[in-house]
Amino acid sequence: MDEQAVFEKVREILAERLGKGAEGITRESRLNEDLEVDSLDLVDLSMTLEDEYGIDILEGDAADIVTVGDVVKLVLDRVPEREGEAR
Amino acid sequence: MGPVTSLGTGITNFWNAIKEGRSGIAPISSFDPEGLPSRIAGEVSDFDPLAFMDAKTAQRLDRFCQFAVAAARLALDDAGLPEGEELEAAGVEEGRAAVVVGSGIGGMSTLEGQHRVMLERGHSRVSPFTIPMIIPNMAAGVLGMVHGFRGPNLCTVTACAAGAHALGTGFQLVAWGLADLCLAGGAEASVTPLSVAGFCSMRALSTRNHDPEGASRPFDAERDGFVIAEGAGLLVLESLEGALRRGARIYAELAGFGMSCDAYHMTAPDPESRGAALCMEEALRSAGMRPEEVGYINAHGTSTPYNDRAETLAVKKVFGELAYRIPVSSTKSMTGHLLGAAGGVEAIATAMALHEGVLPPTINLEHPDPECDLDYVPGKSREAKVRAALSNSFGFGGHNACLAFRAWEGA
Repeated sequence: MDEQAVFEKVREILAERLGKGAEGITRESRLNEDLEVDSLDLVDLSMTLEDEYGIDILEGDAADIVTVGDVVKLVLDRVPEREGEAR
Repeated sequence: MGPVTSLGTGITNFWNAIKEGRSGIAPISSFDPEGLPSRIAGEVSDFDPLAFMDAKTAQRLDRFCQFAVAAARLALDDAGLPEGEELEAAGVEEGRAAVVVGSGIGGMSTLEGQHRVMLERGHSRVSPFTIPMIIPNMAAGVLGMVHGFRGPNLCTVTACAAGAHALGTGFQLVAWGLADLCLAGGAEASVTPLSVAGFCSMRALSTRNHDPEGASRPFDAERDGFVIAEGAGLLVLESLEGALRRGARIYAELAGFGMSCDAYHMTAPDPESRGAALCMEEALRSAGMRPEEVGYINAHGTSTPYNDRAETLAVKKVFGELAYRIPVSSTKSMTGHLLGAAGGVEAIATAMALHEGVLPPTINLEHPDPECDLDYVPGKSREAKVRAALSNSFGFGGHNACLAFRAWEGA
């Protein structure tokens, strides 16, 4: 899966949910401090990504996520697992 | 004062429409009402939440909360408390600024939408915002957040009396010295399929679909139910001392508040009107107001066969022969019935009647019900200098509330 495409998708979702311009959201943006994402937003984001990519994001996964780049990495980590299962 | 109604948003638009006797009722546009017996409503069809809040805030609020945020902004602006400077300008400590906002039902459209998500896609797809968007108290909570009001913060949930109970509660908070200032009123957004279907099943709604503007006809012989409406009405209540100190425009004095219960039936009013009469008597008593002083009553006046007859009887019980000389009108003839927001919107209309000396009309009153034989200000608004007025609100559950206002004639 293309990293750039996942990043653009995550950015699009965050921009829409947070009412912000996408250009202000980078891989380095910290969800909490920079984007003011709260715990409910994070659940909402997880659910949207699960639907988008057909993956499962577990409760514990959020603990390691600090930046937008971390979210992208999590999605990329999960997608191959899923593709592996399918084979 | 901040009204958000089908007649207009903001005090000028709203009050001009009331004085002109316009109707805000139209065919339902927010969903397809095909097949429902009642397909008309008082919708705030031009409402733009982004004119009052940022996109993130708007997304996480149900429509009833969005109405409350808008009404609060309008009320604070009208009170001369511009954004960001409210408390400082008013000389009020943040811990002494209260919020009391009522809602009859709360986030009905969120409930319906998320229930559908759960049935179609499973419980794991239900939005984490579901509960915060549904609970009726969130309007008050959000206003505390938006404006930094850290004082008492409450929600009244007494069906169609919720807005009036909120104002009465806010009045008591200020009168008892528990707050210096209180944003109070009601918010409702229940023009939704489930809500309309539920009221239809009760046979509570007008089915005069061919004539939307003539459908809400309180006290008329041909009335056939209320017309559902949405919106919000919030007022800034403050102590006289505080209002004078900062040179605020004072529309009226909220002078008294009466509460009672019908203790009779879940939804039907007591045919003897004991509860409705009792709350008007309590409002007069708590205001130290003599019946002869009252020059106007803003009726609950829903346009249901039951209410209008019972309320007429209640007015006669309280005022005796005087009842025939007191103008009684229903602004629901124009706004429709905003349920938990009605008391807020009608308090605004009552305060404006005292402030401007113009009594709102009861439109569509063409052939009065023989049992409704008071002066309902039919058809056209009327100029009349009145010194005191009452505003009635009665809710399912038998909850009754009555607010007593006096004209403000200067210190």
